[in-house]
Amino acid sequence: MSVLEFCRWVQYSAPLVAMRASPWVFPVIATIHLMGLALIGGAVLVVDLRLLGWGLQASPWRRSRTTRSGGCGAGSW
Amino acid sequence: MVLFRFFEWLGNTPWSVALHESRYVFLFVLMLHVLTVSVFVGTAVMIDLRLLGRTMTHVPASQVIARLVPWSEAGFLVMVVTGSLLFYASPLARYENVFFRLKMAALVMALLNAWLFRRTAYRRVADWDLDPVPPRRVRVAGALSLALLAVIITSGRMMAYSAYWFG
Repeated sequence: MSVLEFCRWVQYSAPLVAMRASPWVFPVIATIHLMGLALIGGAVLVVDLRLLGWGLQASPWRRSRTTRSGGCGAGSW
Repeated sequence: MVLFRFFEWLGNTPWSVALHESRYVFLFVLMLHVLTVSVFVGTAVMIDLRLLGRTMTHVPASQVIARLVPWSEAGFLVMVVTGSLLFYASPLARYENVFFRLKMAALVMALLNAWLFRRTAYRRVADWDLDPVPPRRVRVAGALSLALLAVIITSGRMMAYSAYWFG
């Protein structure tokens, strides 16, 4: 199966046809996508800044990745 | 009506038309806006999670705030500037967009919440600085901020579909 055929198959599969027919499924997914992006933006920024030595220098960088509680999703660093 | 007239005038100024009709500048500003929303919301969410006692509980709250707030504020500043430019590109369309109004309302409430927090609970931060889980009123401020940020992002994204649903 070529890439084009695969994409065509995905495009016309039942769930995606239903998704395009709905007025709100795509916007809701787009919103969740944006929220995840925002969370990652902040979380990755803080870790990267620590690696660059521009912030949180008082904390060992290893600790800046994890929380004592074991982490809770994108907010843990 | 006064606002409507004003935005109508604003949308007809040469720079507004130029920005609206530009192929790349508008998209570049939009890209910067999303990028800085990410910096602002991402760092603000970390602060809120610390206020809720959900992350970085081994670091004093004041330290988490002091380290992250500069990035949060810098992100906020560029976000507001680029957002204003996006508004300036078509003021009437934004003004009439129900999701834009919701977003602005949530933004004002988020600012008010942050300002109130700084004026009240944060004044006595020494009392709860080392608490892994801060007092209830601090957690309420954090939860409220998280909820308002979610409304801001959601309504911001939904602005694009307003015409589709209500047009």
